[in-house]
Amino acid sequence: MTNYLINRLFFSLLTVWVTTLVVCFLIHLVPGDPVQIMYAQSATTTPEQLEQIRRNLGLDRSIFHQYVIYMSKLLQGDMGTTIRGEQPVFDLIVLRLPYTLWLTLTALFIAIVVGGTAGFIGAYKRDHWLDKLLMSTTIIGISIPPFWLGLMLLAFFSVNLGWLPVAGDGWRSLILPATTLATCQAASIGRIVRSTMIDIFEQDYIRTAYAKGLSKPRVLLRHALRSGMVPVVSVLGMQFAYMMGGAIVVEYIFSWNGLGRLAIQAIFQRDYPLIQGFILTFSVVVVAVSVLMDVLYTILDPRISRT
Amino acid sequence: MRNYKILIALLLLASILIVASFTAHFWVPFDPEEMAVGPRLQSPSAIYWLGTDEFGRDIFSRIVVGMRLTLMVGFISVFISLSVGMTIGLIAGYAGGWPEHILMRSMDMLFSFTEILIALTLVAVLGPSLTNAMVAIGIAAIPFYARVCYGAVLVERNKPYTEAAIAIGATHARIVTLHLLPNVLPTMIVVSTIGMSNAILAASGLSYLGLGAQPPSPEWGAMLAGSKNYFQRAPSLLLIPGLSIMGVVLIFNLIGDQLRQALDVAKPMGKS
Repeated sequence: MTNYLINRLFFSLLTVWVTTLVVCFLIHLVPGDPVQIMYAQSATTTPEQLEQIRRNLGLDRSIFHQYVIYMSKLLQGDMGTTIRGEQPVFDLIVLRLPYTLWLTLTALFIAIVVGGTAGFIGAYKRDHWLDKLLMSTTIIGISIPPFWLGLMLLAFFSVNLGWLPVAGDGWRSLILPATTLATCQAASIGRIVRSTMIDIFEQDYIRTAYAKGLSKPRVLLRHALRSGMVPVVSVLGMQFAYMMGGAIVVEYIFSWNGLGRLAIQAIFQRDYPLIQGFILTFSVVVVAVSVLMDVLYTILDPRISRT
Repeated sequence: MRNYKILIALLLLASILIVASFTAHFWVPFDPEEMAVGPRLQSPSAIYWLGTDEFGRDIFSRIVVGMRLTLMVGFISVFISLSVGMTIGLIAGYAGGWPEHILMRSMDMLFSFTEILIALTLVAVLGPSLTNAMVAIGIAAIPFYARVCYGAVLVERNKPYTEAAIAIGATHARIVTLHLLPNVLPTMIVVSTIGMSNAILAASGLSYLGLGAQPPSPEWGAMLAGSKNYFQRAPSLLLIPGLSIMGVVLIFNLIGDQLRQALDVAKPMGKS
């Protein structure tokens, strides 16, 4: 198990290192002259100024040199400055990241509770009309475009009924984006839980638990549900990553001041330092969470010893 | 004997939609991009079947032509992910050793970047357009296809028929293309059908953000982005493109589910 975790950690560090490579050389992959593209929308820039900018970004050096400079700055928490407004990228990201995490974790919580309950009921009432209804709902849930669901919720609850704010940062503004983000994941968690629980209900230890006279709730909650959560925990890291991705669109629709909205603006404005900072932060968060989940998983499930 | 009625009905429905949308230019009542073919923001009527939008364009014509874009984006993205992903999976699974290690570890790495981040990065580099979005989505999904194919190859590789093929001295190319490929194909067909749904959702999402199809294109995500401020006067502007995306995605998800049962393919983990 220790070996597995060490391997896992090493691979994660390698992933982050590759990300820094990609991010650093991203600017060279842009077709045409990146500096001209970046500054195309801004006010008059003379060729001398463009040259100055190129020097500031280090684009006049060799590629290897650029990477060394990029890394030494990065390790000191310096991700460069944004092109519009010249703010430090690092500060902007530190300011916005908590909002994205707050939204993502709330949505994940909703998705696990709703999806888990639906999957459990579906499996318990297998082939009952309730199971069929729940499973039809989940297939619609995974087919709904999240951005459209967000638009509909916004149009109905905020604009037509005026119950919830259209935008903002408070907890009331969190309800609609979190619901939007949770819906699709709740549906897919529901499907995973249902098929897992169906397997578990047929296991010998469930029959034994009934045979020794345990009450139904006790068998369901202590014996079945506990082992049913293991596969859910095992995909939790991945679910979190999907949600971080989904949050980008949801933040944009609900004007939620998170990282994703910042990234969309950065892509529109071709603000490469900001795009670089976003990609790096996003993948570091996703990798860190997935390592954390793997550690949790190996601790939670003693039956599996992975070497 | 299993009942294939639902599957056949769904496939028939999908074929009708494909034919109808790819011949759209011959039969839709109006030019989808021509403005002021009627009054602005009309409700559905006998002339404008689904009403008109904020520029007086016929929504029905736009939806039908938009479906062609949607399906094309889905097909091409899936083709990119499937062809590259399956090749990687087949090579890694059959060759073993260092090719397996290098290929699958890099796929693991790409996979942990998540599809949306890869797609966004590519769009940020290439610039926003529907073609770039389509390519970006196709590339982003490669790791997933490669992993599923690799898993399937590992199972097939250890079966007696593969050993027999090796024993009679079949070439590597022959074993991979004539023995392994046909046996991993059912799994890949199911994955591609579900992948079609994911690609369509991703492309319409990117277009909604303005990173895919650009106005006046009748792509459904772009239509929603363009009309989102008019929904109070004409709710159909918000409802119709969204329901269309959902309908098409639902059809491919259902076909995927039915095919999985019909072809008896195990569920790939992680995606439903």
